[in-house]
This record gives sequence, C-alpha cells and structure tokens, in this order.
Amino acid sequence: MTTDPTVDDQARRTRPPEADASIYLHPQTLARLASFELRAKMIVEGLSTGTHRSPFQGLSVEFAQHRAYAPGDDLRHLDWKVFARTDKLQIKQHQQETNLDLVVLVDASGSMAYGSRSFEDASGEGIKTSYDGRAQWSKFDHATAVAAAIAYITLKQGDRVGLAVYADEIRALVRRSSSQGTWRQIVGALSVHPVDPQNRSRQTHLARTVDQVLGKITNRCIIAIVSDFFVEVDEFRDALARFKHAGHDVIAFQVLDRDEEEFDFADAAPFEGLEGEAALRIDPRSLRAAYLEAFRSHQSAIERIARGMGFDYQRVSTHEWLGPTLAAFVARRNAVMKHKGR
Amino acid sequence: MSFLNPTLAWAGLLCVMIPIIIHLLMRRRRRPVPWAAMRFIIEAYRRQRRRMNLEQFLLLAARCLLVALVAVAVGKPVLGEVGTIGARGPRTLHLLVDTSLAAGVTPVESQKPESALIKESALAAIDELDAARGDRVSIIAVGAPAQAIVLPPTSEMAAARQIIKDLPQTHARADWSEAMRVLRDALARPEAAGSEQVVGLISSWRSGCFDADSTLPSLGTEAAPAPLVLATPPASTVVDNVGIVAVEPARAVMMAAAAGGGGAEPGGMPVRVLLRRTGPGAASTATTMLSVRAVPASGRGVPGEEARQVVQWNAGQDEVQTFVTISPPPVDRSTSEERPGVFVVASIDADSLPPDNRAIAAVQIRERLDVALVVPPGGNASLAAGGDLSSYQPHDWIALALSPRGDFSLRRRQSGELRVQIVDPQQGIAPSVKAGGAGRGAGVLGGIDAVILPRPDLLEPAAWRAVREALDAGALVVLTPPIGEATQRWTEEVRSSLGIDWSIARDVTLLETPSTCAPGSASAGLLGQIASELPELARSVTVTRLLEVRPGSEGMDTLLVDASGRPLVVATVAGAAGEATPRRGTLVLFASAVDLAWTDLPARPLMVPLLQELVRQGISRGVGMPAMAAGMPLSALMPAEAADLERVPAVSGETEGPRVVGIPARGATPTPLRTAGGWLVRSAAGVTLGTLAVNADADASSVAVATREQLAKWLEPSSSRVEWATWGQASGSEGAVAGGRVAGSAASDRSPPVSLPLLLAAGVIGLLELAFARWFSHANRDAFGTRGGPSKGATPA
Repeated sequence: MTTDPTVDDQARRTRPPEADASIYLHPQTLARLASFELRAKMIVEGLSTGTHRSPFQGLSVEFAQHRAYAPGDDLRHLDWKVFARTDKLQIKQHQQETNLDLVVLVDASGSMAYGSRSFEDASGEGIKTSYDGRAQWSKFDHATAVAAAIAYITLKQGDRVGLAVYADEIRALVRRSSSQGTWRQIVGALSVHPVDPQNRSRQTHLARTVDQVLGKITNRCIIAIVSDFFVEVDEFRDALARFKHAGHDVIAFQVLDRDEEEFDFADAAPFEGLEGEAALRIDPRSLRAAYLEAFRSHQSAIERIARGMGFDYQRVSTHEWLGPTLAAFVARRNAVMKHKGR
Repeated sequence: MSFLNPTLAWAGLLCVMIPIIIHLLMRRRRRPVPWAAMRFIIEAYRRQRRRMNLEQFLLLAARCLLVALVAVAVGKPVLGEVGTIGARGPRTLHLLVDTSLAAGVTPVESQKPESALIKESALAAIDELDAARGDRVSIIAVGAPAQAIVLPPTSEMAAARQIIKDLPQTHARADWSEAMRVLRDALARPEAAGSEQVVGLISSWRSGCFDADSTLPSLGTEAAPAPLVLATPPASTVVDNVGIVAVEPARAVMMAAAAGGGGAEPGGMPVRVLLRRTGPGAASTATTMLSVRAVPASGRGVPGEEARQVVQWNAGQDEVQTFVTISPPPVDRSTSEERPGVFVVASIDADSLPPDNRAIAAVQIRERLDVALVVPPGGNASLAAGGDLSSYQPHDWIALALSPRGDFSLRRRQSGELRVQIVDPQQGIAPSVKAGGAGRGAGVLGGIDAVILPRPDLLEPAAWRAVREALDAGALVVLTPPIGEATQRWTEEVRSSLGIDWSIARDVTLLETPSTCAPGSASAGLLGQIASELPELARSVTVTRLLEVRPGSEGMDTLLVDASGRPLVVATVAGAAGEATPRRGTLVLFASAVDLAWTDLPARPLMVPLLQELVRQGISRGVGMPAMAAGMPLSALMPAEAADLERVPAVSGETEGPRVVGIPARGATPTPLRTAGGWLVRSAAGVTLGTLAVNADADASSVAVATREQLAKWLEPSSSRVEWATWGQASGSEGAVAGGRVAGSAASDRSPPVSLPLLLAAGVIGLLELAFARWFSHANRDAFGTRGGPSKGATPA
C-alpha cells in the first residue's frame, strides 16, 4: 500500500468515476445517517409494500375506516361483523403501505462550479485534487455528496431512487431503482456529468427541467432538488408549484459557498459570472452591504416559498460537514411527520 | 501663479498623475474573479452605481488634491497678491531696483552679472501688470543716493521697461533707507489710495547690497498701513572678490623737479594701498598683483612708470596693507599753468566685481610751496645780522627751520621747495575778492600755501579776515603765541575770526619745573611721516610756559603734549568743517611760543622736521579734495567757483555715466557721482581748478552671501507683510526659475521652506482622504457580516 498522495491521486484518476463514490460519502456521514429513514410527507404510490403510506386503500393489513356500502362495491370488503351487530352494510377500508420513490435533481449549471474550500479539506481522504484536476471543492461536489447521502439512506430502507442531473435541461438520468447498484450508478452519473468546465456559461432552466421530470414520473415521489437556486424567485415558485400540483413532496437543498454568503473580499477586481454574465469591475468592500442584502433577500425568498408550499428547505454550506447537517435535517423531518401522526 | 521653488512645485504637480496612473495600472493588472452569485453583484451594483461612482470620484479627487497641495506647499506659491494681479482691482507696483556696487557681481559660472538678472526680474514684474486694468508702476534706483526714476507711478509699461533696461549700474552702496523714505512719501499721497500698493525689492542681496546693522524706516503711515513688500530671495552663488579699499599717497602734493621735469621726490612717493577680500576664498592663501602708477590728470601726457607688487594673502586674512613707491610723470610745461596734478591709479587683477579693482587718488604736482611769515618789518634783523641765539625771535627760529639751507636774508625770494615770504601784518593784509585752492588769485595772501603767524596780536580785523579767507581756501595757518605778553588777548580773535571753538587760555601758564614733551594722540596724522622718530625727538624738548588749550565740539588733533598731557601743538581735525564753514585748510596752534624763554624746542633737533612736516602735510591736507566714495554727496570743500566736473577717461576705466556733471550753486542739493573715476573740477570759464577722485564704495563691495534669516530680520521694520518673490529668471537665486514667481512669508521662511498653510490644508485633505477611503470602502461596516475574520484578497482562498 502506497502512502504517497501523488501516487494515490494518479491511481485514482485512472479508476472509473464510479469508484470515486467514497469521496462523496464520507464514512462519518454514513455513520451519522445510518440510523435515519427518509420518510415521505405525503402518501406515495409504491409498487411494493414498504414503510410509506399508499393512497390505495383496500386489501391491506392496516384498517383505515368504514364507509357505507354503495352498489358496485366489492362485497369482499363488507365488514360482516358490523352488519351482524348493526344490520348496516359497511365497507371496511384499509391503509395500503407502499414503497418510497426518491428522485434527486442535481443542479449542474455554471454557478455550481464555484467553490472556495480546498478539495483536500473537503474530501477528507487527503486527496488534493479532483479527478479532473480541480483543487477547489465546488458546490457541485457538495451537491453530489448530498445526493449520494440521501440516495444511500433511501436505498438502505429499500426504496427506489432515481437521479436527474440538470442545467438548462436534464443532462443525465438514472432511472429509479432500489437495487444495490443504483447508488453507484447515481454517483457515477454525477461524476461523469459534472459542471462542464468548457461551457461554464450553461444557465439554469428550472422550468424546462421540471417539465422533463414530470414527464418521466407517473407516481408521487419525493423530489430532492440540490441546487444553489440562483434563479429567479418566480421561476423557482412556479417549479415548486408544479411539483406540488402533481402531488410530489419536495426537499430543497440549497448549496452555498461561504464566500457567497459573506462576500468578504478586500481588493477591487473584475468579477466574472459563471453563467455568461459579463465581467464587472467593482470594489467588493463598497458593494458588500448591498450584495449581502440582495443575496439574503433572495435566500429568504427561496426558503419562504419552499416552506410556504409545505416543502422542506435545507441550506447546506460547502464549508460545513455534511453528516451533521443532513442528520439534523432528517431527524427534524421525521419528528415533524411523527408529530402530525403520519 | 509662480513659485519660490518652481522645480519642486512643477515636479510635484506632475505627481498628481500618480494616483490616476496607479488606478489605471490596477485596472489592467487584476485577473477576473470567477463568481457564481453574479446576479446579486449586478443587482447591488445597479443600486449602488451612482453612489460608488461619486465615492470613487471623491476619493480620486481627494488623492489628487492631496498630492497637488503638497507639491504647491513645497513650491511655495504667491497667492492672492501680485501673482494674481487682475483678480482684484488695479494695483500699483513700486519697484526698488538695486543698482548698487555689489549687485554688479558676476559669478564665474553664470557669465552674466547679477545686475542683468535684477533687470530681468524687474522687467518680468512689469510684464505681470496690466495697464488696461489700471495697473501702474514706479521705479526707484537704490544705488546711493536713492533716486526716484519713475515717480509718481506711470501706466506706460513700455516706457518703464525701457527705463529699467537703461538703468545705469552704480559703484555706490545701496541706499534702501532713503529709497523707502521717498516711497513712503509717495504712498502717503492721496492719489495712492485708489489702488492697491505693492512694493517690490529686487536685489541679489549680497552683504554689500544692504547694511544689516541699519534700521529700515516703516513704509506705513498713520493714514495707510504698510503695503505688501515682495523681496527677491538672496543670491546663493558663492563668489570671491578682492577690492581696493583705499589708495593714499603720502602727501597730496608732490614736488616736481625744479629743473629737467623729472620726478623730484627723492626715491619717489610712497603710496599706501589697502586691499580687502570677501568670499570663501578668504580662508586660503592667495596672491594679488597690484599695479600703481601716476597718470596726468589732464588725460594728456605720459603716465609715470608703473610700479607692480605682488600682495600675499595669508589664510584667513581679509585685509592687507601695502606700500608702493611711485615716481611722478614728467611735468608737461605746456599745460602746467592749470596745475591739474596727477591721479595715482591703483589696480589689481580682474575678478567677479570689476569696479573695486581700481582706485585712484588725486595728487597735485608743485614746483614749490609758498609760505608767508607774517612778522613786523625788521622782525628778522637778528637772524640776518647773524646775532647770537639769545636774540633770536620766534619768527627767526621758524624761518630757519623752514629754510635751513637757504639764504637767511628772507627779504629776498628764495629758491627750493619752500619759499618763505615776509609779510607785514599791519600793511597789505586784506581779504581778496577772489580766493580758491589751486587757483588762488589776488590779495596779499593770494597764492600762499601756508601762513605762519608768530605775532597774532598784531593782526587787524581785516587781516584776520584775510587769514580766514586763506584758511578757507585751503592754506595752512600756523599760530604761535607772541612772547612777552602776559595776557594773550588775540585768543578771542582767533576763535571768532577763524571759526574754531577751542578754549584757549588768555593767561600764560608758568610751569614750576620744565615739562618734557611727547607725541600727542593724533600725531600720526600731520606728523605721520616722522611718527617713528617723533617720540625720541620729542623727549629732549622741555616746556616752561604755555597757553592751555582745550578742544571744543569739533575736537582737535593733538600733535604734541607735555608730560602732564597738556596740548603743546594742536591742529584742526581734517574734515571737521561743516557746510556753513567750508574751511578747507588746516589751523595749527603752538601752545608755547617758539622761543627759548618758553621752550627749548627751537634749539632741539625736533624743530626742523616738526615745522617742515607740519607745513608740507598741512598744505597737502588743504590742497585738492580727498578721494570720495561713489554715491556720496559732493564735498563741501569743492571750490566756490567750481561750475562743472569733467570725467577723465584715462583713469576712469570703462564706466557708464555722464562725461560732464554740472555743479549747482552752493546751498543747492549737490549732484552725486554714482560711478568711480577721476574728474577735473572746472570753473565756468573752463579753467581747471583741481581734481576729484571718486572710488567705488569699498564698504559696499562685500559679495558674501546673505541668509534669508538675516534679510528677513532686516526687512521686518519696513512692513508687517514681507514675502519672498521672484520674477522672471534669477539664476543664482535659490529656487528661482524663469517664468515663475513664488512667495512665502519671509518671517515664516525661518521655518522649513514650505508653505505651512498649504501644508496644513494638505494634512486636512489627507485626513479627509483617509476618512473617505475608510468610509467608502465600508471596511468598518460589518452589519451584514456573517462571521468575523480578516478580509481576503480578490482571489478567494
């Protein structure tokens, strides 16, 4: 076993991208998430029995309610015991349990290429650069880690997980599956479809992406969107509204870099947008207050819209360890659902 | 605007571009920073663009202004005064232009006299005026005596420029005090109230250009405060100068040969020459070639043989005295009737200040000296009869002493250098109608060089008037008390008739024991030629009787005293006569009669040299006029009939100035001679009456560099507002450059040479810039900050 990190890097670069999944799912993160289950807030339509409630009530184990018999009802569902006691025809309804489908949408637009944290620090394995030679841990890297983590715990509880990597449209897709190889497929897809360094000006087109996703999903799912959400607030609101209208549960993971949150620069310099915006020469210190005001206003709007529609919102910083953040998020989500009696 | 240190100022002003250049360079150097959240930067920029542009403009303006203010502060501008003529109402510029001797110095490296630079500055100052706005200019030349060239002020700028160009350089000292008095009178006139008055003092301010010990009059009056005074800064170029301070022939009368026309003074005449040097070169050893020769005053004839001598300077020695013996030129019999004499011309090597490299002295050439011995008829019978010594009368002793080798029969005309005539005091002595030094005419005493009065008690009032006339005309008058008179009544007559204020006792003082004799305090004057032997000769003389004499307000030269210090032989002080009593001659009084009953002087070896020297030197003192310094008023000793002066080019060198100068009638303001040279004094009829030597003012020839502190202190009394100013080109003046004029307060110039108010303003702007920079950079604001920690550079970590 070699201890030379340079040799390690070289060797790692020769391996297939799927082999790098360990970079994005740190053992400590796994340890944090191992005891959690990702539950659906709403009733999902699963193909097999599982831990999630199904909208289909019928032959099932868990009794739900009685209702008056109506002509045409299946007589198999009559509760004869009630008829014997009350001489009324009551149909017995059962809550059907089904599997959870998780679709993870990972933003791969140009803005996700930004990162200020060193790759070595974030990867946690002493690896100094990414397989494509980047020394910075980008927001997309962090989004990949988020996607890998929630896919992992979903797969672990036997649910199906799918993936869509999008920017102006869906760039990569992994069909939903609960097989054990799905996780590697997901991580592999994220690895081979990162933010295109040659085309950083690729903009986010959330509406188009939502159209494409909805076209591919027929049952209710949990839609986990991992993005910086540097889109227009109205576009974001429309996207969530369409998901909500389709009955999907949405979890919005907003991945941000610490530089973006603090904008703590000293020297005047031209700032060049990663999604095709023209360079602008500014004095960061003189513009900081206005920038932070606009940034936080946008961030608040994103969170407010998400929560307003009953969805979960979680801000994720690239400079923070993912395990505690996700663990806290899942725990909080489960607690809320338990409180609501679902 | 112009500056005192224009080079620094303009260099500093160029530095204003530095912030702009830095700004541009910084724009080019920065690499673009890739940034994801660009939409928020654009949104913030749109909201803050106008404010940021304003902030950046203010910051850049503050930085440029800071640099400009520092540059201007170092340059020291003149603000709000002449430099901004036209910004306000009409102004009158009074230019006091230094035309003095020391202003004409030519530094070796510049090849241009500083007087030319002074004129250029004056012309540049005039160029800043605008006649169309009502500006006017007046010009006062300060070469002594100060002369108002253009006053009252004129608006004819072209004429003023021409006058400046034609201003002659003088060899006199600078008379700033008189110039300011003249200016003050002009400022006090009502017409001066209409415009703002500014005074410009333009000089190179070498030590000889001003008398730091003098006190300038204030230019302010009760009616109007002192105007702003702008003075050019002192020259800083170091130069050396050697000048002739004095040329003094041993006697003003030189004896020509009785026959043959050759030099008659045995061994020639000694001439004392005093040299002085200034500048840093005075600290080292040096040599100076001195040439002295006698030149006929008429300008015609052959000059005497030139005597050359190498003068050695020791290190640190700034004055040296040397003696050169010269021989007179051959007497030209064809022109000797006017007895113009000769000029003794001393010259040294050329240096930075030419006018004081030459000095002259006037000397008369005589074939003989006429002495009148006023005694009653038969007074010298005993001498002629060859009687014994006890029968000798005072006049016998005197005659014997004056002509020891001559014929004792004084009734006959004698030959030799001294010709003694016997004049009867009671007959024929009366004032003449016409009198004069070299041209003395009618009258018994007319043409007499010395009058000896052994019997003053016999003189009638008319005779006293004749004696006074001879005295005023330059003759030597020797008085001895008559013997046998217990009470000397003539003493009062002497005081009143001859215009002296001595106190002469009427009663003879009898000394109980004979008192010995000793040289007096002023024996070096008239008896300078025998000064070395005088103590020895005087020691053998004893006195038993004398008249006590005490000096008056005019003082007196004590030539011999007794053991108790009582004066024995006294003389009037040279030059003590005033305008009211133009006494040119010298009066010598013996307190003791030349008689063995009073003193044994007649029988002692001192007698002959004493009388010979008294007569020769006394006559020399009254003959002609002493050399005067340029710029001084014409001597009151000028002959009454003098009508004009004619320059003698042969001894005057290449100096500017008129060839003929008229002499106003006595009582009128005498015409000053501002340039050195030799002059012939002529009567209205064109007869040459004598000679006049005018030399460069040696006291004004110092070329040492003055400091601004000295100058500022000296200028302080003239006005409360004195500032430095430089017009036009003034190389050699510190910090002065063509086309620029800078001023700073002369008083504040003692502090570092910067404009303190501007520096203060620069400091305020600097603080403002700091505040702007901090405020506009928002470095102190962390209201939206999410966490602390140092700010990072443009490139994210």
